[in-house]
Amino acid sequence: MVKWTDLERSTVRAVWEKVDIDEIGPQIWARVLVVYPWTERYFGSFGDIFTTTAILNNTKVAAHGKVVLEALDKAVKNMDNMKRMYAALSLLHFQKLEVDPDNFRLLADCITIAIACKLKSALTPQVQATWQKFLAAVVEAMSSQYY
Amino acid sequence: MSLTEKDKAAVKALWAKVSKSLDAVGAEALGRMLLVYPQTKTYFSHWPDLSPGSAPLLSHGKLIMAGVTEAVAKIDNLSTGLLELSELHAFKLRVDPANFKILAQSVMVVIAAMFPNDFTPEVHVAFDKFMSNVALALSERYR
Repeated sequence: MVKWTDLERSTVRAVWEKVDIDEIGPQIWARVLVVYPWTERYFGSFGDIFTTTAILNNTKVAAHGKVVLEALDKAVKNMDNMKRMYAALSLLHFQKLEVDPDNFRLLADCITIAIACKLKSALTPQVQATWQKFLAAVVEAMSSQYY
Repeated sequence: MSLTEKDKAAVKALWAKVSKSLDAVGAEALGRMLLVYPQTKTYFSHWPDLSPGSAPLLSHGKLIMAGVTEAVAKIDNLSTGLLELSELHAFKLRVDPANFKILAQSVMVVIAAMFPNDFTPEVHVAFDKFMSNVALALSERYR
């Protein structure tokens, strides 16, 4: 289990407070599809996601970004319990959605970059280190039910 | 994942903007890499000071950015253009090539933070592809 100091907890919360899910969620998901286009394989029902313009204007992409950040919000509020909390979601991504867990790492990288664009110099090196430690724990929890 | 003409243009345009703050970007990227990915510190045990803003960090950050600038200039032929740098990393420095991706991510976070309006998704994918190709070119002489 990952151990968190009080400073790390408050750092993660402070970063998350600056994130407007409605604003950043769509941006993150657009980045994932544009930067790692093979992720399109999971979104056959989203319609046109084959050009950057289409991706940036796709309402399903935007909605999905919000869904993912709402799930991330749970991790921010439950940093000590991520594995248990995400067990069902992890199993869903493995058994039903059949998502390669390496994609969780790619998503984490896109989340960090989108947050860097928003927070700018407020994302100091120390804050970035803590934030990425948090995301690594999320990625591990989401990969935990793959067998 | 080879670079299209559009990718190359995007990378050159981004780098022209970044070039004005090259030293700052280099120092920031290196400092963040050492903090966020502590395993990378193993390559710098000969430095007395690894803290942000330290002299070795500033000068080495400059060196790395000069390397990326060279790669931008040789964007049409990275594998032959970066052969010397590849030999340096392969035979002298012996850096595990997995770290090229780590440094690339660190550079991108700094660029995103300093140039958020320029680091659009399209520029992000072009630059990510470019850095992947640089990593490949640097790995050329490894084995």
